[in-house]
Amino acid sequence: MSPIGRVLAGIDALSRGCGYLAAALVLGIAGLILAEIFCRTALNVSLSFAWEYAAYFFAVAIFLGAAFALRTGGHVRVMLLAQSVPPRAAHRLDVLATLAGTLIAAGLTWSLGAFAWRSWATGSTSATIDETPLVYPQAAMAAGAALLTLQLAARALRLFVGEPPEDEEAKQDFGAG
Amino acid sequence: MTALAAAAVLGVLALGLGAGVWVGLALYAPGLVGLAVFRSLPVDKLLAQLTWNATTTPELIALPLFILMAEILFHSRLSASLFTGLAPWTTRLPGRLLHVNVLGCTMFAAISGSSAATTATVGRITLTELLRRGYDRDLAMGSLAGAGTLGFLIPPSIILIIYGVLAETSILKLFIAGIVPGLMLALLYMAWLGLRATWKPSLAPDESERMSLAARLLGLRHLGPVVFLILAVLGSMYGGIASPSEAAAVGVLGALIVSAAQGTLTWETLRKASLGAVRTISMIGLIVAGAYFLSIAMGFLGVPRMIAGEIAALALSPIALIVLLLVFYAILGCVLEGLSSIVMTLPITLPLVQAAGFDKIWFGVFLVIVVEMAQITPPVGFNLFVIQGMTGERIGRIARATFPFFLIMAGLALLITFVPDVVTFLPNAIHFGN
Repeated sequence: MSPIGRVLAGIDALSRGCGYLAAALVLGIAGLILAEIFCRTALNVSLSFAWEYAAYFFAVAIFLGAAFALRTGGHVRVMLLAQSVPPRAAHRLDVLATLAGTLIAAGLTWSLGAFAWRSWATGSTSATIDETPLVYPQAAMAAGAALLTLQLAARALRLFVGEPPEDEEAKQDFGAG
Repeated sequence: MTALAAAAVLGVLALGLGAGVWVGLALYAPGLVGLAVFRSLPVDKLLAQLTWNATTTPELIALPLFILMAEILFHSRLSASLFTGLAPWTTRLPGRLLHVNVLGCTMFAAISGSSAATTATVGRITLTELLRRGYDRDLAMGSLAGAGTLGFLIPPSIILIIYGVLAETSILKLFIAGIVPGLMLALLYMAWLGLRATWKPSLAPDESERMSLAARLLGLRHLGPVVFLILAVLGSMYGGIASPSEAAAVGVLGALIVSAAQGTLTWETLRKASLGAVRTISMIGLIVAGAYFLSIAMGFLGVPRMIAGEIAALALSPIALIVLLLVFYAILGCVLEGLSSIVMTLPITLPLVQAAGFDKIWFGVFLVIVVEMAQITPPVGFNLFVIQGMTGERIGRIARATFPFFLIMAGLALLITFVPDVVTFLPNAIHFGN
């Protein structure tokens, strides 16, 4: 495998790994809310952290899963123009869109990273009785955004070398949309 | 200055979306450019703060749960049992099994929050069966595409959850408001299928298999899993035990139980379902975050106020405004997928219709019907894509087959505009403890 191929494969493996992590978080959201319902109705105690953590899990899952979703064609985009111009122009348009996407995702990564850093530096915690340090969910979101940026850059690279930009094989697994 | 900012914001948005930048990311661009150029605000700080605020909104927790539930059910045998349970009851109706598309989607919509998921889950059995038995291809595809859109209208509904959060109104009331228009739409579809089949009986082949009443009643047991899930989700919500998010968690548990009872619950299905859910959640989550950033940015720039002023200068009657919006969203829906077109226009259109004297709850349901129409208009119509995936048919043909159902929906949109009570009487009649 060429060095570039190894880098691309590495980004893919990371994306898939974080996709699985996000999947675990989504199952975790269901677990948290079900536990809260059970404790409240059966044991008459409320799990104060359940809602708070579920919200963090959701926010983190969105970002950790973003690169995986991109690689498997999960994010929606408007293809009207791309489908109505000749293939060569469509290819250039795709490169342009991918680079623009990379730029926006990089900005998001920078902003979320600084956000997490400020929470770390000031030791800021949630305004609940659990006082969760906010740096953890925020840093995880920033990591997800960074991976999305990498996957977008990888996509641009794939377009340059003429590889298919999306993982067609992995797409087959998903049907419910 | 505001006009220039508005032009810049809308220009960047159109450019980004048109070039094919992923919607969730493209929604961020106009706000970034607008705020950096026209207002000296710390854009870098706002970007993270608003993204954080949007994605950690507690009401949104229902979203990943309903998506997960639909994914688990997609991998179960629920749609097959729906078909078996419903089919015997339609043999005496003109149009016969075609009605299973509508009835199946109506029932499944009561446990699913998305139109694409409803179309995919119900259609994978009904469409195959209908085509195998020689039913008219166009009516089979069209009625599925049309009925699939009930997924957004009949609660639970992912779009109504997001609308409720962005418009700051009760999600539960929105859910209740969707019930009557949803059932009306289902009845109108069935009436149309009946009419078509009466005019031209060859569209629905005569099947000799007539089951006795006892056999049909016994067949109803196949609907057990669906009824169980409807009771679990809607029952816990309307019974006042649980919030929409908690009802969604109960729904996930219910879906796991049904899947286990049908013998489809394996590690492999759980892996596929949760990964599939991540894909959809990430897509929708980014769109919600991007739209939230866009709406705040537009507010800072005074864009909604300016456009509201322009529209007010036209001195439109409330009805004319709604008809204008109907046309606007129908055109937007040709290019954009439904959820995106709602979230990116809401900061502008919601104040407009509220100023014209319409109710927030009413507008939510109106928007859902309008974007349901978008789901079945080419070139971008998610239900059409789902059916294309199942049949390999060209989008153009599927869209033509779906056109009558599109017109029925447009009729319903006009009806609720002239008679808003159709939407609002039920949520107003029910009083909640909280």
